[in-house]
Amino acid sequence: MNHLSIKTFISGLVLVFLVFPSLVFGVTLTRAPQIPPQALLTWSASNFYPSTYRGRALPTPGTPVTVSVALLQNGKFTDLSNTSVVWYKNEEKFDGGTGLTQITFQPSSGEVGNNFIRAELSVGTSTIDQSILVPVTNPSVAIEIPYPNSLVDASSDITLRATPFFFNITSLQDLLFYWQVGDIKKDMGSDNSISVKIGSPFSGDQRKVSISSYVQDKQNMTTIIKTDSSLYIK
Amino acid sequence: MKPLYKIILILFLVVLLGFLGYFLWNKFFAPSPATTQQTNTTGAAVDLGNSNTPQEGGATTTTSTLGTIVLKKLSDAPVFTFWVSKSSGNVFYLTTDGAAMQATENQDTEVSKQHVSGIISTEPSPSGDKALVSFGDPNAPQWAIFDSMDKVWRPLSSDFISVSWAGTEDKLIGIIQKNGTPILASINLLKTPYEATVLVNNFTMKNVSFFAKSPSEILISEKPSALYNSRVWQLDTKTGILTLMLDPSFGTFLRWSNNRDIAFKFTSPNKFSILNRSFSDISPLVFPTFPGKCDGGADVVFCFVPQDTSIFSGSYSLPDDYFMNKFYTVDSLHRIDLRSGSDSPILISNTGSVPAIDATSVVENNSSIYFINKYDNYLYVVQQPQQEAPVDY
Repeated sequence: MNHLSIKTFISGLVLVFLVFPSLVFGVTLTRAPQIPPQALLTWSASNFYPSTYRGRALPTPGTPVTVSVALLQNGKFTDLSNTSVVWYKNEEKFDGGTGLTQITFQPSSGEVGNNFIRAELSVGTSTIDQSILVPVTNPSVAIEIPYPNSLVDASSDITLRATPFFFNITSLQDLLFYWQVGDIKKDMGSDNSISVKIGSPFSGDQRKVSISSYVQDKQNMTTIIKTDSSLYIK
Repeated sequence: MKPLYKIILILFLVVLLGFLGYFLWNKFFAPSPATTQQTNTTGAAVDLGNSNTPQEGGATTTTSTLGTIVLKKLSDAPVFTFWVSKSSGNVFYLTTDGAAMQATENQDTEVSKQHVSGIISTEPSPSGDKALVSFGDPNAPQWAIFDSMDKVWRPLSSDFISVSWAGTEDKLIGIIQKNGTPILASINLLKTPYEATVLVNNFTMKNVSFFAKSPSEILISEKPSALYNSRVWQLDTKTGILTLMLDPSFGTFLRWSNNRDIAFKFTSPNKFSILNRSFSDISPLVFPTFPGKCDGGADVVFCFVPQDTSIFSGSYSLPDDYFMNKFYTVDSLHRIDLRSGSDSPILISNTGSVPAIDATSVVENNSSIYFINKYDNYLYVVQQPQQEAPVDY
């Protein structure tokens, strides 16, 4: 094989194995599917819950709820300061403006349940729509009974605690706690715990002790949350 | 053939193989956002008829198929949180009134005179030698780092809104306030004042937390509730691309293992699964429990599993009611081999001298399993028999 043939052969290899795939690769890149623009809605509720609570604070009637929107273009966050945003709450226009990336609303007592929040963004000549369901619930109280299977020893002293969640307050001092343990009723004021002396039951019927806690919002006296539980004497 | 032509020919073949490899990798192996499907199977706790022997010092030994297991109450006081140094094995904790203590065999040592009140959360650094602590008003928390090596508290700037370790000992990632605008930033703590590299300007996402799978892969998770379809995204800090990793599901939350190899996932009403770093389901079997009750690695996982699985039957709104302490569980500790799929209960609580355990904040370190028992809020440790090293002949 002479030099000219080898040169021709290698030139052919360059064409077939380098230039051609490069062209294909380049075309593939330019025709790679673009990620469509996407709006993201997220929200938060500002009310009272223990600092150790790991779940999501849920809004209750009167809780300020903030919903915000972010826009992803090709998967990346985009500046919305010059973007027109219109907000709808349960399909009624709530607010709108340029760069209005968040709104705050306070659900009424009639809005317990899912609230449909929608944001409409004008991006170039397109409109991008995104919605989210914000659940509104009632305040909750947990009666903490840290005894295995709620079993307590006869003739023992125990402490129970009522922990409030999602009241529209700033501290426990804004609440009143009432207890009923068996037949005994007690007003504990703003103390959310109660000490109970467990007796010795005479019969099996007496082994179950019903517990009820009533938690009332001082600033909104119509808000009273009753919670029932039970414990059992060994 | 001249050497030059040989070189050119070799280069062509290398380039060709490179193109072929790239296309094949994209087609078959490129990671993609994964959605998971789980089936729920109730696992029954097995009563091994263990003989539980109380020991001096408050320890209890119990015999399982793995040998003698020792359960010890480790802390001298109720504990809010704890962390374990991976290098030294030293265990530190914060009491419920904010004192920083080191757990020892004898009397625990108070390692700092400064107390922090109103603790909200803690996150150990990747080495376990520091703890990032938030405290105060949950709607506007303050932040500080406790350095277990120096035994000092280092308050962080009031600019910090929500931060997390960024995969190294000296970097954080999260939301900070800059000129009145929230930004998502990578924060270099080695500089004074801190140096923030902006990742996203005017970061508006609400009620999210951050977790660094690696320094360049940051997970952004919505706080969970049984009444809300929460999501998990991954932000690539190099490209700035945000990818949805878990589709919206009620009550979804993740807890990563201490070594960041695997994640434990819960979804309402009662679905528990174990995921690898690519978010694929690697659970050999599914029993209902909560992510905070598990830790382990890519091979072996330890989970405290509620003995009474009726709590997952719909009578409670999960995970909310569990977080609210509306009920307590009585757990058994299981050892799960992710390779073989075997599940071995190794400790059954509330039997014999073993106290009732409702375990949370489980951490596994060098075959010791640390946890807080919600019944008394003390820190406990389960020590397994040491595995014998293989002998080379």
